[in-house]
Amino acid sequence: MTGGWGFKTYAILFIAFIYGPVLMLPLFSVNDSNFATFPLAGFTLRHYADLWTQRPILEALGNSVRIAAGVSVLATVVAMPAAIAVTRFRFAGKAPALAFMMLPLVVPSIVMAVALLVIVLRFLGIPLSLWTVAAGHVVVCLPFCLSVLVSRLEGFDASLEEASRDLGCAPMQTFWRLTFPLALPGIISSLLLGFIISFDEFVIAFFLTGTENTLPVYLYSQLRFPNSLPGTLALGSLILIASTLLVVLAEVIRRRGVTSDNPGDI
Amino acid sequence: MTARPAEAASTTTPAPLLRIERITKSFGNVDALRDIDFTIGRGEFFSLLGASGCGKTTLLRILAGIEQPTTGRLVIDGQDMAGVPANRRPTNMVFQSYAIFPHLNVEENIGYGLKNLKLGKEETARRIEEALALVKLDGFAKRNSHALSGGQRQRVALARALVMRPKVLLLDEPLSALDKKLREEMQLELRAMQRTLGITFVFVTHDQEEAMTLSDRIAIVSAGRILQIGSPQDLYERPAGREVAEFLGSMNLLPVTVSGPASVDAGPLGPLSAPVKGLPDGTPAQLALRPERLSLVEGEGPAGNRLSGAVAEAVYLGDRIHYLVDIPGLARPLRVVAPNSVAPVLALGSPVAVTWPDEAGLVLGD
Repeated sequence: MTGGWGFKTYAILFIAFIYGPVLMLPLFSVNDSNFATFPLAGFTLRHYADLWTQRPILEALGNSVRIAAGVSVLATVVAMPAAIAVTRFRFAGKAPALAFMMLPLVVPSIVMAVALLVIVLRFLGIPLSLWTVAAGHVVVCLPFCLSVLVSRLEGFDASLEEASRDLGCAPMQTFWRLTFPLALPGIISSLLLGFIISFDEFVIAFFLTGTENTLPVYLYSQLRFPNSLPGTLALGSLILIASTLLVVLAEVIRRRGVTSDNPGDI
Repeated sequence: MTARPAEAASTTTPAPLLRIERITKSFGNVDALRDIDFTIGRGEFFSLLGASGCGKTTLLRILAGIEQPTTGRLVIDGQDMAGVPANRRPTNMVFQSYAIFPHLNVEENIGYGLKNLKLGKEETARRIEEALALVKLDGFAKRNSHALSGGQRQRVALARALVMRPKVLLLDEPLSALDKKLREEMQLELRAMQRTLGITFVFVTHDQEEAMTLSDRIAIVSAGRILQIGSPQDLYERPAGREVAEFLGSMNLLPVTVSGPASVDAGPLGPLSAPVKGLPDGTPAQLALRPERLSLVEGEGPAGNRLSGAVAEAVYLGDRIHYLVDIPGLARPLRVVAPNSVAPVLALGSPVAVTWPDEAGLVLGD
């Protein structure tokens, strides 16, 4: 590209604007001071070391990981048959059904959280706990998992499944021997995406949790205490690194799938 | 692969293996197939020939069990196929896109269906090897399916279906994606394979030359109906109607009126002789003349069926010459194919007579 000088500047500013604030996090987390201000005081890893001594943080982290793992599996398992139905069959009410499943994408999370709170407490009468948080997260993750799986299943030739039937495989055998392995990169993406979304989610967790906290809710509660700020920064940095790794991993898996030139392919 | 060829060869008209009885298929308000009713013999190479969208692929998919007919019955080898799903039918299909499983290698693709037959390791391996040899892919067993050329994918698809030893092999335009040379090579191989295996082939194509090269019988499909079924020679020489006549090869059509058991009136062109079958006097009809059955004579020419005109176009093709001859009183010029002989190519504008023997003319009702 020639004459792209202005465009390049714009791109650099754009990236700086988006990632600059985020990169402040790791920067201050290794700063030898209790305040997040310039000038930097010196390099230290003590904030990281301190993390491992704080039980509440570790507990919250454990809660979040367990919820995220369960939610990602459940949302993917629920989304899979829906994705197959949407991509493989013609049926009455398909468009409204799909729209309904995608709804959580556009409903503000605060509205969603309040609605779920009312349902859980008033209609179902279930006490709030990590279970209710997980249930809420499944609802939020579902549209993401569904769109990942749908785009994956749309990508391959319907005649592959017909060929599998033709060669003697019943529908379930066709699923395990053909659809599942072909959809695997999509399934992994869906799991990773569900995990990250649930792990990062704040509003619904804040509303639907009982006495135990997820990590984002715990972090928020700690912002009131200036002394715990460096620890929060260190934890935030770790989450940032872990999330980035997960996203890169999901992308690598997805990319590895698309390298072939076969239209019916991954 | 089966012991059927001798059995099939012993009878002059092969026993029907497939009976298609009054099958219709509608998608919403669209009738894709209307009242399809015919049989296909054991060991026959049968083609469904028609333009794209005529319903031939839908019929093939009904045979495979991928689509269900709206009404009608399908019987394969004495067994009613109603309620028999695709995975339990004695048919296998070669898909137009080949549908090679991308996550499996050549050997695994070919062995995909065999797993369901539970033959045991040795028998499975033996059959795969046999199938690879049959389609001339020996040594490709471990090849990744991504690393195959179009022709090789086609062979894998064929082997994958044949290895199941189906009673009927269904082929959906399997050669249309190959280049001309490879296509002609595969046509010969398919024909030879079908003869040695004795398996009934049902072959869908839009290529009339391909259908004629390969088939024992052809069904001409148009707008969801079967226009005519017959051997390539039947269809070419005795088309049942104008549509079939124009579909297969090239045909000159002259509007005429039937004027007797062996004569028609061609209006301004005068009376012409042709055998008339089953059409009463006074019926408007078409006199159909194949270009290669017509002869060109310089000047007036002999008596008999004769139309005088002038050469409007001459295309030299080496072994033959294509002429267009303008006939006064005829809207479209006549197409004449003349074998190349020592005589020089006729110059444009030369006065000529187009002649033909009576039996070359075919009178078709409108």
